[in-house]
Amino acid sequence: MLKFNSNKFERQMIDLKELMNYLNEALSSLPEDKYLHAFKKRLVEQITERANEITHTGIMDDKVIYDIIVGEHPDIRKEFADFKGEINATRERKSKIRKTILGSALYFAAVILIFLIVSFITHGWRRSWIFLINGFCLYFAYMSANIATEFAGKEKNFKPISRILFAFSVFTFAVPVFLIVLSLRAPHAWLVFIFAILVMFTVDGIFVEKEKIGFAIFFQIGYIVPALTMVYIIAATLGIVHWHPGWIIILLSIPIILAVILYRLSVNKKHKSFSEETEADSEWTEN
Amino acid sequence: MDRKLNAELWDKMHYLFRDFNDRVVHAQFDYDFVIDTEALKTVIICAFEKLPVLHSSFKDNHVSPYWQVNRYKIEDVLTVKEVNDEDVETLSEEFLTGRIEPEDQVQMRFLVLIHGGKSRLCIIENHMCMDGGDFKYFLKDFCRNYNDYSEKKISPLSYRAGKRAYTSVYKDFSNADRKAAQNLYRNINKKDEHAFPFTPDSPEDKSFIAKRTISEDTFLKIKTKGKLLGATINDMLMAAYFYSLYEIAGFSEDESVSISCAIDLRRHIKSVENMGYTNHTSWMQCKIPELGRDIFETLKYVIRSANEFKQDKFMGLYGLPLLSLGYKIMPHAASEEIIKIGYSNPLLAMSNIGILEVDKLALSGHEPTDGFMTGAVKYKPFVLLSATSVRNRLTLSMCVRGNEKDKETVNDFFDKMEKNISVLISE
Repeated sequence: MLKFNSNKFERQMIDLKELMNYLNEALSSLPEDKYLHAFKKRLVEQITERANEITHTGIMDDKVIYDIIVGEHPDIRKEFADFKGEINATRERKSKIRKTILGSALYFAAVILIFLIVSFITHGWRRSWIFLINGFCLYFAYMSANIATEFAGKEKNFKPISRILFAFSVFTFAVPVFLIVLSLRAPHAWLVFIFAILVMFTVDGIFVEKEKIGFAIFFQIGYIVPALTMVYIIAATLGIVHWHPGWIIILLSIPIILAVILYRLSVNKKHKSFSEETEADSEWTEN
Repeated sequence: MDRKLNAELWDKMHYLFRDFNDRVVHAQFDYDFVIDTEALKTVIICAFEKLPVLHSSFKDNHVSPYWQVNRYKIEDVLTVKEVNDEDVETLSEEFLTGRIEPEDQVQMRFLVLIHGGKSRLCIIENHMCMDGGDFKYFLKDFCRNYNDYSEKKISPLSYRAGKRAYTSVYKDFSNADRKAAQNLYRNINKKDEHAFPFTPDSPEDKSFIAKRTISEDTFLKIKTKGKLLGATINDMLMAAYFYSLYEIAGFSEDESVSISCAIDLRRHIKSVENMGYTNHTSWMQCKIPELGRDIFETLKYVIRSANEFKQDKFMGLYGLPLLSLGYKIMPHAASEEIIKIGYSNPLLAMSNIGILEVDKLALSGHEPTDGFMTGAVKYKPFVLLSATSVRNRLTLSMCVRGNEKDKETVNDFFDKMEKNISVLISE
């Protein structure tokens, strides 16, 4: 079993035998493996550096140096468990990245191969490129949604990136849909993008609510008018409503906005009445 | 290894106050024995090791500032000098009026002057690290650690090393109250143009600390008379402050004037045990509608104004969410500019730091014979009157960057304070 050697600290001119004993004792019952070996190596390096740093300040009392360092490592076994967890997490992350790279390469190879085979067999080069573009777009839509989901689970600063990526994903997904609709010679293919804007507003509205983003209400209210405008354009273009007086759909945003505001106010009022009820029992103390 | 610490809201706010003061908090204690400087060195190093912000430099990153932890030597922090009795005042004043820049390697410095078998301990620290309230806690912890080390050889590492975030003020509220407090966006302090009658600002100005000690007898009378009049010590001092100010500044008697009084936001926290030393201070704007017929009427106005604040359970918490939002949504450089537009630093202020408990500030069984603490050196026209008491003796102090004429004005103000206090406590 690897034992800490106090000779490592000779250049500090201080005796850290006790510190080494503390470390050895804390880790004595653990099985010697590559994790423990790596952990011990790192810990010795850290402690050597820290001991040098403290000695540099001018302190001469070995016991105090011992207590400072021990105080900074109160639970070595937990540190080891964290270290092990960190290594495993890094390994998993690396493996995931490797799998993603390999999967992406295989996916692109398959898309290109299918594109070439289909094109050579059918000689339909004029349309087959759509398959290639769609393959790429679907990949980017999937990847950006995947990264957006991962960022959504991280700290606050990553939320805006997550929202941008979700919007990007929606639009990248709209491209193949648009190309398919266009290749089928269906009318008003451009409506796909109008619909994509509608979806983007909806997804972001749900996201800000679910993730409790500050001032979510302002985003939601802000989205209602443009979202209903998109509904109006789609409905009028498809002949579901007439252009006039179909524009009244946009005016519907006013009662919807009012309803949202009233709902928020009622929720806030509930909080307030809760505060009044519990004030007498609250633990408020004025010093 | 590069170590960085988060710059908290108050760190950034006090950095912004660089236009109003030098951000240095001062303390001075006299002991009737020679301090063991070797033990003191170890105690100081341990305090610095436990509180890394004390050996860090503030990095004014335009996007997000932070503290960079530095290596240091005890010589950067502690100066020990053996001096003659007559040099003590000059040397301690010179040290206390020194500056600590946020970019410096260390944020707290100590001076020990040994003279004729006695010691004077002077300490200065950057207000960005902690306010007067926590500086007092720190000093008590420091002295306890010194005693534990020098008497029992216990490693002097017992300091509060928890969170420094401003949000700690909300932690003991009920859920509903916390939500309400975190939505107090409006600033209730109004701008007041009344100022202390200093000479205009000049590049030749120098920092000075003017102080006046009020005797034990007078201080006890302030307490007793205050109780009779339904006033706290703070109210009594504030009334004398107002009355003296009207006299020296020549304000018209029917003018309404306000003085901001520092309030300790720790009043909202049940226990500070697990929190780091930091800033938790806000302002209560004490406003009187007119001077009043006599100082007793001034006192009534002061009590009325203070009581209005004290009845508010969110006292001192207004505007904090707005500051926090300002720093959150914009890069630091932009948020500083925006906050500067909206923030008005009080021209007239008072900070009642309170009692400096000699039993808790004793070193090796020797209680300090005298001492005081005072706030930062203010740049004209801003002024802060600090009040501390040691052994029932009250010390009033003002730190100003000014000239001899300003020093005379401050001393004249102290004369008037003494005169007005004596009227207040008269039978």
